[in-house]
Amino acid sequence: MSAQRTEHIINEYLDRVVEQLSDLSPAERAEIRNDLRSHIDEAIGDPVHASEADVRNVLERLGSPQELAQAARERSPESEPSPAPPAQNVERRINGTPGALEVAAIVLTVLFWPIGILLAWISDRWLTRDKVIATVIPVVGTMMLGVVVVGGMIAWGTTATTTLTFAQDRVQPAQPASPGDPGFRSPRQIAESPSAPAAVSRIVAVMSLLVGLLAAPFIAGVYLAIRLKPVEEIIYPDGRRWRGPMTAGGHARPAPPTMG
Amino acid sequence: MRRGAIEFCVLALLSRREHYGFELVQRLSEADGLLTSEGTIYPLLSRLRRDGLVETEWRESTSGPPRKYYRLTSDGARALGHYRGQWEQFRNAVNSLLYEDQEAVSERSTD
Repeated sequence: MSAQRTEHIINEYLDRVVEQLSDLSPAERAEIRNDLRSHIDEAIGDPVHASEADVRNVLERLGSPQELAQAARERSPESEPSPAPPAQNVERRINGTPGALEVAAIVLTVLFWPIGILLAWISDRWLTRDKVIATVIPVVGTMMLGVVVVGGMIAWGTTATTTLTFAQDRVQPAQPASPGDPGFRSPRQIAESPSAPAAVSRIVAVMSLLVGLLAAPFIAGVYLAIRLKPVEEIIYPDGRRWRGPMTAGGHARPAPPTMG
Repeated sequence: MRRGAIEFCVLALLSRREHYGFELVQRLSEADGLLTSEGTIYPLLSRLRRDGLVETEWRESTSGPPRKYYRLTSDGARALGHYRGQWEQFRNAVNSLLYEDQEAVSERSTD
């Protein structure tokens, strides 16, 4: 199931819980919502690998919004309520809509990949791993192209030299052969007649050109589009912020900054 | 009655070491039939915090977002000690009534 779908189901549930808690203070509601959210993330693990049934099962085990609201209304008889210390909540914001930067990165990767890839590296919507992969694809494609061009230049140089030597041999032959002889081939014909290896290398050259110039950037662009993550912003109780691509319900992403 | 007991089970778990919410739920779920809806633990924890029986601290986790750890306060430890005494009395009273007849039966059968 997609991360967005998981997110939708979870938020729907949390919204219904909070709705039922309308008689509590906003701070209490926010705290319970946050605590439930942390619990759900821990229970689900990687949302990409969680099926809808898994998610619904976790929510079912948590209980109905009505049950939670009832539990929230009970006061413990043993202790008198005292003024509550302020809730210390980590606030999470998730945004799944790709921004202009991400769209530009994907499109430019296909059209002119060095700029597109650069933009992708600036964006915080891809994992570093995915950025590396997206960079490697067109670089390898270009390297293939480079090898073929250099190889082709060397091969062309060799052919030209051979032809020249051959031509010189023909200009002053010890026993001149006439064009009427059945075995006679002009130097031009020899230089141009395509041998089997030459045909193969021509196909390789064309293929490399296609892969290097067109296919590799296209694949890289498609890869970026697939791997685009919703961005997650975490605001710590002390006001510090962390932003990055959302993964595994926040579990696989790099450790947040050290907290005081 | 169950919910009141859960509250002190939470305090008892916290008297051994700190736990984060999900961990507490897992520990309580190990005891069959104690926790019918896992989520009810969170309003309860919120209340315990407001009542000053537990305190919380956010701490980093190696595997994901920071976790909110719950720790017993001295008020919480006092409340737990008080409850233990009450519970013992209550349990003895209930046991003596529930099993009086059976004890009598088993005593008679061994005679």
